[in-house]
Order: sequence, then C-alpha cells, then structure tokens
Amino acid sequence: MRVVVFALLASVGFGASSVFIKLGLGSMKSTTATFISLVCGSLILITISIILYPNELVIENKIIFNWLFLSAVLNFLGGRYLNYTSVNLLGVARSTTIIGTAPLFATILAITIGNEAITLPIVLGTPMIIFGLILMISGK
Amino acid sequence: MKTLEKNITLGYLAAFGSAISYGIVTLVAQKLVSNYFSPVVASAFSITFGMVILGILFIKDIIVDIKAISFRSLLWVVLAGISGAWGVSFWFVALNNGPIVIVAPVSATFPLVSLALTYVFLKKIERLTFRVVIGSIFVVSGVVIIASMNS
Repeated sequence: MRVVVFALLASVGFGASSVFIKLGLGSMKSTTATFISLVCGSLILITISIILYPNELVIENKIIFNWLFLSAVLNFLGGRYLNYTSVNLLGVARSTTIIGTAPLFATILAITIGNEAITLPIVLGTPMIIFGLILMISGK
Repeated sequence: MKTLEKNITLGYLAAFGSAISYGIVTLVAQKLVSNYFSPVVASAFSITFGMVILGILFIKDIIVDIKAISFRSLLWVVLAGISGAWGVSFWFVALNNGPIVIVAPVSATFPLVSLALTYVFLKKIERLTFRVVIGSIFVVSGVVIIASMNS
C-alpha cells in the first residue's frame, strides 16, 4: 500500500508540473521556463544527493561524463524543453497525454535495437494508445 | 488562422519529440544507474548538466526574459520545477519501497492527474473536450499495460 501512495505522489508531482508551467508561461519563453525549473530541480536533487550519497558525487572518467551529457541533452533539451513548448502551444491536456506515451517509444526502441520480444501487453496496449491519440488529435 | 494551425502542428511535433526523447533517455538512464550511480545522484548530475547546457545555448533569451518576468510567472515556474523534482524524488522513494511492477504503471497515470488539475485550475485558459478526456483515458490505459510488462 505504501508503495502505491509514493508512486501516486510521484504521479501528482509530474502531473502538477505541467499545470504550473502553463500558468507561468504567460510572460516568458519556454527556454527561460525550462532553465528556471532546472535550477530549482537541480538545487533540490543535489541537496538530497549530498545528504544521502556524499561519496558518489564524483565523475570518475570521460565515458561517464559523456553518458551524463547524453542523458542531459535527451532529458532536458529534448524532453523537458519540448514538453514546455508543447504545453504552451497545445495546452496541458493534449501535450501531457502525448508525452505520457514515452514508455511506448522506449518499448519500440527496446524491440528494434535491443531485440526484445513482442509480448501480449504490447499487442494489447499499443492499439489502445494509437486509438486514444487519434481520438484526441482528430478533435477540434 | 494559418498561424494558429502552424502553432498546433508545432505543438504536436514538440509533444511527440518530447515523448521520443523521454523514451530514449530511459535506456540511457538504465545504463547510468546500473553501471555508475544511484538513481538520485544520476538525476542530480543529469539535471545540473541540463541546466548548464541550456543556460549556455539560450543565455541571451534567458537574460532578456528574466529582466521582464513578472513575480507571479516566476512563482509558477519555480513551483513547476519543485513539483518536477517532487515527482522524481517520490518515484525513487517508491522504487526503494516496492517493486517497479507496481511503481511504473501507477506513476504512468500522471496525464490523468494533469487532466484533473487542468479542469480545476485552468478552467478559464483551457477547455477540456469529451474527445480529449476519453482519448487520454485510452492512452493512459495502454501505457499502464505496457509499463506493467516493461517492469
């Protein structure tokens, strides 16, 4: 039960973020909004890391640096910046729902690149996602 | 009218681009977390790198915007940053307390949370249509099914 409550709290955090950003985007560009949100997130996560994992806060070599760089570009330039841009242009409901399909793209990659098998949940879940997207996008 | 259509198309492209990026980054994050760092530290490093890269790339825009920004807007964006960090932190707390087979599908419901909050707080800005609500429910259900499997 406790794990469900924590996961729901995570879901509330992710869901609320888009609503707050929509309210804040009135007088600034998506780039600035993304930057400010990253400053806040960075301060919080670095503080937690210093308290809980002080020994891990070292980047030992260039390979790890490159992985972190790639992760940052995908997560925050590709992911969050485009997320905020779409919230600004499309609205919260449409953009958040589309962005929520990320696990489908991860699965497609895992199947095409990672040679993972196509399983029954993928066969069941994919048409539901596509139907939902068509229903949403085809509306005015 | 053309500008509106162009903006909507750009909005959809941005949303799908974001979803694809988040999808790919899952694989990169798995590599970082399984080989080098605990999840919270990986996120802390990644978000700090993101802040520096974005700051360097868009420094001019950011300086111009920050000069003209209203306190109210700043407050909302700060809250967005805090709630994003809240989401990531509780996601890891949940993972520390239970199996990902429960955490992944439950946290995949966040678009429905956005939908509910939009209905409550953005009534004057955004109208929720029947199609959008039903479409979201289908999408989230499909994602929950796939997320359960991926776990």
